Amino acid sequence: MKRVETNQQREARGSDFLVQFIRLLRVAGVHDLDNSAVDQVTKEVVRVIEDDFTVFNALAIQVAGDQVYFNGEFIKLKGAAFEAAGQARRIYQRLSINEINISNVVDAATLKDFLRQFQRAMQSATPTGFAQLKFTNIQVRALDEHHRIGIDQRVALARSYAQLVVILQESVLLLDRKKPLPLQRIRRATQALAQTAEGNRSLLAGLTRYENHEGDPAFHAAAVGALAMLMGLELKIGRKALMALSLSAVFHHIAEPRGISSAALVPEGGDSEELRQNEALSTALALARSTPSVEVVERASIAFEAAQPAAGDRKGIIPSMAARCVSVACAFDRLILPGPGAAGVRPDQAMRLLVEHSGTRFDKKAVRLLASIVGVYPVGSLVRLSGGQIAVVVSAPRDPNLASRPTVRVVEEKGAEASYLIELEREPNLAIVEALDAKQERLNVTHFLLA
Amino acid sequence: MAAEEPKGSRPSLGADPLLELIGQLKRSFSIFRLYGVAHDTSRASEQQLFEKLTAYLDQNGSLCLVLDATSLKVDDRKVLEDDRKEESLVRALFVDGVESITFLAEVSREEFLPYLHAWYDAISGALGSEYSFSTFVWEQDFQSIFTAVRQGLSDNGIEDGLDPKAAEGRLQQLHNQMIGAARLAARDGGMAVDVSTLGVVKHVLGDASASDFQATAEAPPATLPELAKSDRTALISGLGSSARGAGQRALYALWQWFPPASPEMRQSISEFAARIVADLTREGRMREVSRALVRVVEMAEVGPDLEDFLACLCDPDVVRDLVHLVEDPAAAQDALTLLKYLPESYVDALSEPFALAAPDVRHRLVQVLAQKRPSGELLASWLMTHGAGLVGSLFELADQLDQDAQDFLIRAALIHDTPEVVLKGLSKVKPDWMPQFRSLVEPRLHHEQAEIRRAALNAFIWAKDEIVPTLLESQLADPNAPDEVKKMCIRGLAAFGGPSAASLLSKILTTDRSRQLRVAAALALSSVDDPTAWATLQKEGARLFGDRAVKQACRESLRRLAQRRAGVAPSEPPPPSIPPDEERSE
Repeated sequence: MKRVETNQQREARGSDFLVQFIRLLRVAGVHDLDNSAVDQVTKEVVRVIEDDFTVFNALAIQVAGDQVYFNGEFIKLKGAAFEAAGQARRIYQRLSINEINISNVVDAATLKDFLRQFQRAMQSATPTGFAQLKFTNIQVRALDEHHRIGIDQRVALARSYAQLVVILQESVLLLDRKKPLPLQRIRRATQALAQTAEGNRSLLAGLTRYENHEGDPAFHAAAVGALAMLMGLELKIGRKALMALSLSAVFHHIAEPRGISSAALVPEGGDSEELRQNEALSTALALARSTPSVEVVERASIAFEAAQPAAGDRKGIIPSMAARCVSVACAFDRLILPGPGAAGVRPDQAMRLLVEHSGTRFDKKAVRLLASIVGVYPVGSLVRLSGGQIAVVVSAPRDPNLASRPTVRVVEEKGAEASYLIELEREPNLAIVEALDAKQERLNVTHFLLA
Repeated sequence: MAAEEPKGSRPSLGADPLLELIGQLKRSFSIFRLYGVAHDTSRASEQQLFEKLTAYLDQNGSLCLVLDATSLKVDDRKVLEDDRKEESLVRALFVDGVESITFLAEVSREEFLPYLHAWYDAISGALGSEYSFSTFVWEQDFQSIFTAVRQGLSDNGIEDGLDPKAAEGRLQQLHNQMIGAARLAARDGGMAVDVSTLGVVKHVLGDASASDFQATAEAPPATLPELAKSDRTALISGLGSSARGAGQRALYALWQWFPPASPEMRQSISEFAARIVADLTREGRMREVSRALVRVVEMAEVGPDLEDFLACLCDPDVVRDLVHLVEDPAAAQDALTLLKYLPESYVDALSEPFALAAPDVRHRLVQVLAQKRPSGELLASWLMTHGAGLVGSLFELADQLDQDAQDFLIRAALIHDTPEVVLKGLSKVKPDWMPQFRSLVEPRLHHEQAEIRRAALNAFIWAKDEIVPTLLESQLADPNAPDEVKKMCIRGLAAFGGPSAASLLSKILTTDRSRQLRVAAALALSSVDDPTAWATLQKEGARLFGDRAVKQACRESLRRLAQRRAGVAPSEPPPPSIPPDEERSE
């Protein structure tokens, strides 16, 4: 029978455990395990663990992005816990892990067995594979799409995405009022999105499929920003470059008309290229007027170039690589969610259209990059399986040879609602037989992505 | 091991390493405020701070500074209290949402200093409109300095005049919608279609035909092209260079759209192009601008469109910056290229920076300015404003321009108050231009400075003006004329004097009080083929109590006359003057 404590007491225990446990890891990282200092700290931690197990069923320190959690709860970082959290991040990052979970009381010998492997991994030049090791009563895990740790970062990600959309809606308002854009807030929201997207990239790709019923340009801006961010994350570019790319994508259409209307279509015999470029130039100039910083040069340049064919236009303007990436992300979103009153294509069709036009309208490499993120059936696609189930694609396969076998959440089976995951990579007897239109089926795919 | 403290000594005020460290932090920021971060004093101070920090970290492993609105705490102990709001070290960070800063033991100088500078930039408002402190340090991705951030006061849109409650409401609503209902309402799923799928595809892809789309739409699931390692490398490299060349690409694109644009659009393009040039020049990214301009100018047809486009780029501040950058060896070439390609209109704004530039910079600028063909009036006005310091460079420039420009500049120089300027002007008067400058040169014959009188005389002499003998005689008769000038006139008389020259020279030889002038007159008489000269020289050369130098000069003169009569040319005839062009004062 566990002892019942107040939330405050439990938080304090979590914070204390973090400090003690990370201290042990640090000591073990630099001293021989037979050293008396290690002995003493190990004994102290064993005592703390024993005591904590009178309250908790498990003791897990988790790191996701910049946040540190104890048993899935945020740890309020005060005093020594601040330092411990910073050290925990560094240790976990080096070992490529996200969680160390103590599932039962451990004695000093068991703990030292764990520390021995830990020490070996820390001292190794390539400390990979630590997450695969087995220990008695201690589990080490790396967070990925399919093995989620207890905390729900997905909700945090959805909130970050929504936050970005809301700030961009405000930005559009400010733009209408000819006021400067709130650049610091947009940057902060974009950074928050990047932080929460770590480990949940497929979900972020899926969130961009949230239907934009009003044709609000903020949704398009956020979606293209998020897709460009995913491209940058996939390439493992530095944070500064990642933000430059994402923000350029966010701003690339900010001042343009909302959605594709019949009025925006090129009349028969009209020059669609000319029209597109005129629109892009207007965006670039509006952006320049509203942005009081030197970064606008790059953003405006990308906003303009993203409307050009990858191979260059008639005037000899060849888009930069960033503009090509933004162009691909923009087209992908526009094709699927063109705005109210316009019939888009399905995500899988959009992806195929991009592939068809790569090398001419779109850059081949940028299309391949997007394809490697979203797959044949992009995250958020609604599909019918060979078993008759209707499912939402929740993540792209890791193996490109199995691009048409993503992980899906079954949402309907034999006419009844359902909710379970199938990794089609591991189910050779099941396959996708048809892509469906979520709008026609009246399904809110983001709901299922977050379920 | 710590040094043992001498008995009876008082404990020093900085005995607590933590307080010493924080004190040094405060001092460093005060020094930054006074001198700026680049100053030697600031560098010394930040070095001391880093040493104190590393000493503390060696002892304690890490340092966690917890912030509130007015103070810094370490382990719940207040180590810094801001006394003045405007100099607060923590307020800007606290408002930005920074809760704590943790320095780990491994922190290096290369990480610490940029962090410290970002901190200073944040409290002094120098981070600009793009970044707050927390967003800046997040992107720098410091490995040994951790900044804990909560949502700051600046996150809620108050400063933009928007309603933060409404935004919070929208956020909650959107969040709820995303994770809320599994099924869409009928309205959401069934809106009337105004633009067909094909219309959308055509709009987005431009050239997609209906059959293309049908084939793609109905095609079986494709195996997607794989992202190869080489693709990855090319993408990363391309993204890295995107930002660097943005200015170049943007300027070129703006030029492409400038000629056909409407007047309003042209205005917007001009404003943006001017901003690009100004911003990038300030940021030291001139190479992008210069490359774009070279491309534009070399590819475009010369005409009013190009002139209008380039004219908008000539902000006086930018021109000033560019002139300063010519002094920087690393940036000089790009700055000169820009100045070369910018249109003539900027030259009007160049007076001040040109005058203030170092002589070698001015020399380099002259080569660029010469191509802009500035008017003589402009050069004259610069001369009148900046005077002697600029005269050499202005004439160097004028030498490469047409005669009109030189004419204006010479006129301005001849009426200038400064002797150096007048001299320069006199030296630039070519013999065949004398008629048009005579009225300005003549007054200079009566200038108090011998050098100017000489130069003015020279100008007449070289022009072989008919009034030269008269001028020489009048100078010799002028009691205010310095001996130096008179000597020159004596030599001049020998060369150009008429029949009266011999008697005048004889008179000087016999009566003048200046020995130098008498010597000069004696030597000059050797050039005057006059019977009275012979007699005078013999008489003065034989004077019993005469000056030895004068007598020697008379004998020398007689020897030359004898040689001439015998048909032998005298060995060293005295030159009448120094040619003007060899008389450069600079």
